[in-house]
Amino acid sequence: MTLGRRLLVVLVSLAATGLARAADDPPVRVTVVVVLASATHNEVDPKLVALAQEVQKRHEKLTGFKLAATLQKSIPVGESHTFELADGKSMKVTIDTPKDKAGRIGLTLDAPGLGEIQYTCVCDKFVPVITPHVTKAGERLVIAVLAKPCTGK
Amino acid sequence: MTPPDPSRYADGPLDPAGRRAFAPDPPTRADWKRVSDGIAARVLPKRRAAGRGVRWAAAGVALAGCAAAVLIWGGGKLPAPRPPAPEVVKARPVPEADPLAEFAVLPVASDDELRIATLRGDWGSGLVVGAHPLPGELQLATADDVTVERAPDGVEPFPDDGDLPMVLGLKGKRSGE
Repeated sequence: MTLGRRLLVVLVSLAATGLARAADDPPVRVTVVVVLASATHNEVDPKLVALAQEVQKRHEKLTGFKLAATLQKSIPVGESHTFELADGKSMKVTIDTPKDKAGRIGLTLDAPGLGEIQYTCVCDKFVPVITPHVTKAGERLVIAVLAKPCTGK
Repeated sequence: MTPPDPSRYADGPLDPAGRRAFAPDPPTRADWKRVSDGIAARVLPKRRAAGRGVRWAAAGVALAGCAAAVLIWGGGKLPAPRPPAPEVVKARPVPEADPLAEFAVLPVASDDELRIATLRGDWGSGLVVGAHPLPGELQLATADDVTVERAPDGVEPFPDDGDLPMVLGLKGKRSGE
């Protein structure tokens, strides 16, 4: 076998190994909860109690929290998906890194009116984000994002 | 085989016992080949014919054995006729499961569980949890805080007063010069 053919075989093997590793990482199931927060009422969806408490630490005037939509998408590692939120706003979510040994997944969010945030977070918790967008009804657009590996269950 | 010359019987030399010595010529390659071909022509066709017969008999026995096994395995019954095809019924659409059904209350990450690597844009009021990579105002180093090991010609920290915030640049030059 000539040197060129040996080199070709090595390169093909390396490429196949890389593809196999990429295929080994399961896609990440991203859940985006769209919340409309208001200062004109005090009703809080029971599922949003913990989120409301955290938001109110920084925005005391927001007293009402309504669950507007729940979006879910399975996204392969390294790929992106754009979620249509509400009121014509959207958010691009990119899976940067799979679940690491510490149980954290790396994501990048391109949140409306804010910009990009790149972070790692544990798999079973929501990350809340308060956007500057306010609907015509005077409600503030709040997003909560959860990412966990797809287990097929 | 070449027949011996008859004259050798009459004129050959005598051995010590008074008998005439006679040695026939050894067979040539052509002689041996003729003998070998003759043997093959008479013997091999019979063997081949016998071999074919044995093989046909073995194949027949094997087929009979297979047929017997099928009959025994199936209990001697013929295969049952196929049942009629099931009736096709249109499935009702399954309602989508609630993605939040597993949560009574949505769990929110704490500051320790969220590590922010990059922020682009104005996230001043957008973050609810997690430590901002740039909390508060920028704290500038003074000349006493920094030791320049290597820098391009003319670049040095100024002002060199240890208590004031320091800037690295070309000392004495203003922009536009």
